[in-house]
Amino acid sequence: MTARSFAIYGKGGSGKSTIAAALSSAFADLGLRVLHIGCDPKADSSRPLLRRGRVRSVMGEAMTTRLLDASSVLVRGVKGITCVEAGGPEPGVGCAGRGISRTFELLAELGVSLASYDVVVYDVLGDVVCGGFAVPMREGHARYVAVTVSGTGMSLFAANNILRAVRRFHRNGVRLAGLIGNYHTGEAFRDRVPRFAAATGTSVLVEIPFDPQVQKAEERRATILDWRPQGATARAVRRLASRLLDLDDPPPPKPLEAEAFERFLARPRKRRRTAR
Amino acid sequence: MTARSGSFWDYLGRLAAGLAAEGCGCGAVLPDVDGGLLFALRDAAGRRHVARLRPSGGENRERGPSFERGTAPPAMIRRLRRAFLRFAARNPHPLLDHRGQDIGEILLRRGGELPEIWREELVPGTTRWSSFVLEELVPQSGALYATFRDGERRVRLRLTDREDPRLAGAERVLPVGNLALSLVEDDRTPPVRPADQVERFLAYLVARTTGPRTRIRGDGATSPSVTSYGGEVELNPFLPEGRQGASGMAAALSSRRGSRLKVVVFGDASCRQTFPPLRRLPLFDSWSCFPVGTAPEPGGWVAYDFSERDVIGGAERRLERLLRALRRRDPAVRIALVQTCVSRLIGDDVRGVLRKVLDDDAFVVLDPDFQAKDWAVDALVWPWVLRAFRRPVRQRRNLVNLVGLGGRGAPWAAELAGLLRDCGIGVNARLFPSFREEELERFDAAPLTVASRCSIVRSAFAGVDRTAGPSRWVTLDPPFGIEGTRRWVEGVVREIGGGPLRGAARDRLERACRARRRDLAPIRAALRGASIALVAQSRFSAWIFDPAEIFGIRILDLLTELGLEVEIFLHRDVPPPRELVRAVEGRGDVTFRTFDEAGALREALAASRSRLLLTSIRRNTPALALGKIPVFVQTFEPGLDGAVRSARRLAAGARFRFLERYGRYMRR
Repeated sequence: MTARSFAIYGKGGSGKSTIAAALSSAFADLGLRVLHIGCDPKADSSRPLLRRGRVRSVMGEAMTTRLLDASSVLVRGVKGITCVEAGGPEPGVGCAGRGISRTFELLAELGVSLASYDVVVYDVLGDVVCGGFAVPMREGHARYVAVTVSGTGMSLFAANNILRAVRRFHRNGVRLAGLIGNYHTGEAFRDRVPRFAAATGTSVLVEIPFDPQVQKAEERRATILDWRPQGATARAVRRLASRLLDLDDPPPPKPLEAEAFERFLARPRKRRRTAR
Repeated sequence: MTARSGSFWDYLGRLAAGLAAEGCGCGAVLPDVDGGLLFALRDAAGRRHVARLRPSGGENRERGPSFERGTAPPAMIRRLRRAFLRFAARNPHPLLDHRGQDIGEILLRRGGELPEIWREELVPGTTRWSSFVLEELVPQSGALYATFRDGERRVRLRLTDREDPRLAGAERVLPVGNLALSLVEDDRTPPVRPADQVERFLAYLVARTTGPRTRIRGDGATSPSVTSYGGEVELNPFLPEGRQGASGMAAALSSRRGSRLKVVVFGDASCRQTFPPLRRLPLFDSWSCFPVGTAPEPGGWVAYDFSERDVIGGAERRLERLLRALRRRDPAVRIALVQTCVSRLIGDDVRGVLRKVLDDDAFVVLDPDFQAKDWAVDALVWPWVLRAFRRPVRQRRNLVNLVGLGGRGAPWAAELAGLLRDCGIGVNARLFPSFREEELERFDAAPLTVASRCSIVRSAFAGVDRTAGPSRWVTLDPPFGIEGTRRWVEGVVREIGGGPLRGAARDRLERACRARRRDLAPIRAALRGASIALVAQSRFSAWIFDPAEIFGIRILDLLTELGLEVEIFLHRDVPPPRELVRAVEGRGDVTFRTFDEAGALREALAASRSRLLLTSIRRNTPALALGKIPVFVQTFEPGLDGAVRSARRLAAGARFRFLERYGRYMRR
């Protein structure tokens, strides 16, 4: 069986890593064999899945050792989730994008078979800033792309950019799963997310409400599913997992052109009625 | 290095004695062929052991010496390590230092000088191993042949690439990284004692001075151009080498033999492909395909081979190590760093690293903006060259610096210097596009600097603060043609404070001019009735009438002096330059024609009697198809002799009938 693969993209700070780790945990709860790949030079995506210790990143190992071994970069986390971190250069030097590309080449060279997993989750740094960060899409590693948005202008701007990349790689078999509305910084712009999804021809997979427990879970190096398994956020993540697994062949997105996007942002938002 | 520090054999003997004195039980130390050292030890019980000091290069360079102990007890090795470190600190030897790790390729030029990396280690007559003395060291057919001799005994070794097919038949081959050492001749009687094992010494030396990726290459089938100006590369100043961009400039700088200036190419292996001298090709101008010299051994060139690791993790640390190594070898080193695409993309802070290691004036980064104009590299490099090498010196009267007329090796340099000498003026330094460091060091000794009036020189030296130095800068029309040369000499005399040229000096100059006019007369007679076409198809091709754009040549005056009539073909939309109109007024030897489209021009040229056509297009097929001989601005040389040579070229072109019959077949 071929692994189902999902890449989580989104603006920096929009909760990609939190959701990706929780998603991996949700898949594992369903009894699936999960590979979690962090594509970020910070190498912190799998932190909540490990509880203690840290994955030695592929780039970190490749830079310091001559003979790279799969066992030194693949680490078993909670619920049997296998974690890999791409890693990358120190801040301000080198080319992190090339580091991501090289990670995938190295994983293939090391004989890491994605087919031995049921699900692969990619947590990708920020926006699709260069070819390196598009590798999960470009090389056909991730079949479905989900984009985290909070409804703020900048997060939608980044999402619109990512949609462009998805449309570009639609020919490679990449599909846009949809948007993940994550309102961890507040719900002031919540109404924009469904409108943006409608405008770009996609859908909102799930809306995750503001939940202070998410922050607490992160501080304790746990996913929200392990910290508050019955909470609203955990339920939303489980819903997301099952929706992702049910995806078939969504149509290509229709990202907005620059002017249309500006018009979209300028449109007055619906005011919420508040009880007096 | 070996030459400087005496025999390495003797040094190892002293090392063994020193270690024995410290109670290490060391009987002998021998070099290993991979760059390690072997220690013959004997413990207290009289048992023999062999310890090996690992080569310690590459990745482990900074971790200190590491020993393989073999059967020796650990305590013995610890003692040996400490004693070795103490001895090496008190008695440093260059061959204990592992360098050359970053060298990607060593190029051997047939019959040329040795690669710089071994210029100090392998000195014939001086370098020796025990009683064997290096007799000869010859680069030949892509290999380096070293001959050692001890009386009647002779050993000839060949250093080649490891892939070299000649190794298949070799009796004994010692691999050293990507290189291999093989025995070609051997007069020694077996068994060969360590004291006679010169191959062991040479392999060790190569391993210590090169890296694991170093390859060796010969100069292939390319032979030096016949038009080379001798050993030194001299660029023709009248070629727009600026258009070659950073790589052309770097090639020119790197080919300076024995220079303090090192060119560091900060990029991946393929970047070296942009360096004509390093490929052993004649250095030629890409625009005109005119060979302007051949490159000597690229002594001033330092390759930097980006690895994948550098691209991802940044290469600043390795660059710093490289710069420090260069600085160690020559504290006064000047670095021209070529920043390549890879380096620009990953954004290494090369200037920051350079500033960390060198003074501000000791480096320049050849990093012209991608959108920059043709002369951006010149404008960057030449002011720096002047800053980097200029030294405070006492000023001397009647000396002049010449800027924009080539270096000492230019064919017209001696003649121009002679003409000035006849007027009591000495040439102090020549600059652009060639230079010599020793001349630049004394640049300020001349009270006057004469620059050629043309756009290349103006652009290249726009950044020079002409008021900063004691030498006063003036601009004169360059000496093209006999009249032009006379005016130029008079101009230099006037500017240096001598007033108008008078007396014997004036007579000498007149005599020289008369003599060249006599030489020119038969050529002019041969050219009688011949004409040359000058075409301006658009506003942008009107450059041929602008002296500033063609190295300061006043083309109409020069062509007339050389005996040619001129036909000018102007597009109807091209406004005739005001100077041109003034220049042709009342002249019967210049005719104007206008045209409005390409077909009309073709017809006009076909009907024209001009056999020559001045063009900037190297392979001007429409002109060739019409049977015209393309003439380039580079045809014209400065100086009196240069005028005669230029006229001869034009006359030869005008006589050449081949294209009239067969030019139409050259259309494609």
